[in-house]
Amino acid sequence: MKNLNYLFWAYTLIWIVLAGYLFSLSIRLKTVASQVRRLKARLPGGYEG
Amino acid sequence: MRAHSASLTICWKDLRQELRTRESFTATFFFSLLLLIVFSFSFDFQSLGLGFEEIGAGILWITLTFSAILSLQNSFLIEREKNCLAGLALCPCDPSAVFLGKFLANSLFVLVVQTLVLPISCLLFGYDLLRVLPGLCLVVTVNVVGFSALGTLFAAISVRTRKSELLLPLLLLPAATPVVIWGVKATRLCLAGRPLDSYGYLVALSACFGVIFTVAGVLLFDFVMEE
Amino acid sequence: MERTERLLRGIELVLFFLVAVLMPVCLYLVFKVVPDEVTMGAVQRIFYFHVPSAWVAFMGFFVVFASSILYLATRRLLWDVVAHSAAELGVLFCSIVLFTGPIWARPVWGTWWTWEARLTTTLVLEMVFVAYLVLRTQAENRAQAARLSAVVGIVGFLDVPIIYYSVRIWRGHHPIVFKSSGGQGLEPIMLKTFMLCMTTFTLLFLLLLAMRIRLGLLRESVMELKERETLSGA
Repeated sequence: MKNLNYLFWAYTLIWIVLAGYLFSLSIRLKTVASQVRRLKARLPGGYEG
Repeated sequence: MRAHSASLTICWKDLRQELRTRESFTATFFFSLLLLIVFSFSFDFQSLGLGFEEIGAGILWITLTFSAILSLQNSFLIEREKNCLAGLALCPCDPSAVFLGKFLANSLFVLVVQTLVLPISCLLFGYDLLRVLPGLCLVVTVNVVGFSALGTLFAAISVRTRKSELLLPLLLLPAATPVVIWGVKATRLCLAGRPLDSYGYLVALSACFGVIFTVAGVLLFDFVMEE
Repeated sequence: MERTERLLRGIELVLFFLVAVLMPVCLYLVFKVVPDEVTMGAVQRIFYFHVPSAWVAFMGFFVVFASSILYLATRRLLWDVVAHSAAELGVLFCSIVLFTGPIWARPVWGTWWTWEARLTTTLVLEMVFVAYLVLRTQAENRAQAARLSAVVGIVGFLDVPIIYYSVRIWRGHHPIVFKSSGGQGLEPIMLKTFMLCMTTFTLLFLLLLAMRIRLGLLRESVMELKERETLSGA
C-alpha cells in the first residue's frame, strides 16, 4: 500500500474532528440540562414545560 | 403609493442626497484609485512582461468589488446614522419598492464611480480603452447590477447588526463569487479583443444571477425591514 | 418542549446504535475488503469518507434552507433552532471535506491545494455558512437573529448551484476516483462500500442534528426560565 501515511492522517483527522464535536456537544448538553434543572427548582410554584 | 413610483422616489432621494454631499462618491472613487496604486506596487507587471490584457480583468474586478462594498455599506449606514431605518420600514408602500429603489440607487452609484475609474486604470496601465468600450460597458453594467442586487439585500441585513462593516464583506463576497468569476472571465476576453460571441454567454449568466437575486430581494426584503 | 426533548432522545438512541454498528462495518470494508485503486493506490480510500462528508454538508445546507422558510412562514423558534443546528453541522462536515481533500491531493497531484472546481466550491460554500453563523452572533436580539439568518439561509442555499456551476466554468473537473486495479471500471464492492458509507454518514448527521437541536431547545428553555424568574421576582 503506497501513501499509507496520508491515509492514516486523513482518517485520524476525521475522527478527531467528529469525536471533538461529539464531546463538546455532550459537555454543552450536560451543562445546559443542569442549568434547566436548577432554574426549574428556583421557580416559585414549579414549572410545567 | 404605487410600487414603481415609490422605488423611483427612494432612488431619487438617495441620488439627491449624494449629489448634495458627494460623500460616498468621493470616498469610493479615491479608495478605488488607492487600490490601483497598491496594485502597481504589488506586482511588477512590466518586468513580468504582462500587459493590461492579461492582468486588467483581475485589477478592475478587485477594485470594483471592494469599492462597491463600500458604497453598498454606506447606502444603509447613512440611514442608520440619521435614524431613518425605521422611517424606511414605515414607508407607505410595499417593502419591495424600498428594496428596488435602494438597489437602483446602489447600481447607479457604483456605475458612476466605474465610469471614472475604468478610463483612469486604462491610462495608468497603458491600454487603449476605446477599442473595447461597448463590450466592456456591457460586461461591467450587467455584473454591477447583479452584484448590487445581492449586495443591497445583504447590506440591509448587516446594517441592523452590531459589526455591520465587518459583516457585509463576510456575507457578500462568498455569495457573489459567481458574478465575480463571470465578470472577470468576460472582462478578460473583452480586453483581449475577442468578439461579443465569445463572452456573451457569461454576460447572460450574470444577467440571470441579477434577475434571480432581484426577485429574491423583492420577496425577502419585507422580513429584513421588520423591527 | 419536554415532549420534543423526549422524542429527540429516543431518535438519538436509535441512531446511535445504528451508527455504532454500521461505522465499524464501513471501516472494515474500506480498509480490508475493497481493492486498491489503479492509479492512486491506498490514498484513494480517503474518498469513502470524503465524498459522504460533502454529501452530508450539502444536506445540512438544504436543511438550513427548508427550516429558514418554515421559520419565516410559521415564526416557530423550533425551526430557527433546526436551521442553526444544521448550519453548524454543515460547516463541520465542510471542514472535514476541506481537510481530507488536500491530504488526498498532496500525494496524488503533488500539491496541497489546486483551486480545482469542487474543492473551491466547498470552500466558498463554507464561507457562506460561516458568515451565516457569524451573523447570528452579531444580531441585536433573538428574534432579529432568527429572522435575518433565515433570509441569509434561503439566499445562501439558492446560491449553492450557481456557485457550483460558476466555479466549474472557471476551473477543470474533479478527477474520477473509482477505477479499481482490475481496470474494468467501477467495481461492485467499491460501489457497495461507498453507498454504505453514504448511509452511515447520513445517519451520523441525523444523530448529531438531533443532539444539536436538543441543545438549542434546552437553551431556549433556559432563556424562558430566566425570564419567568425575573418576572416572578419583580
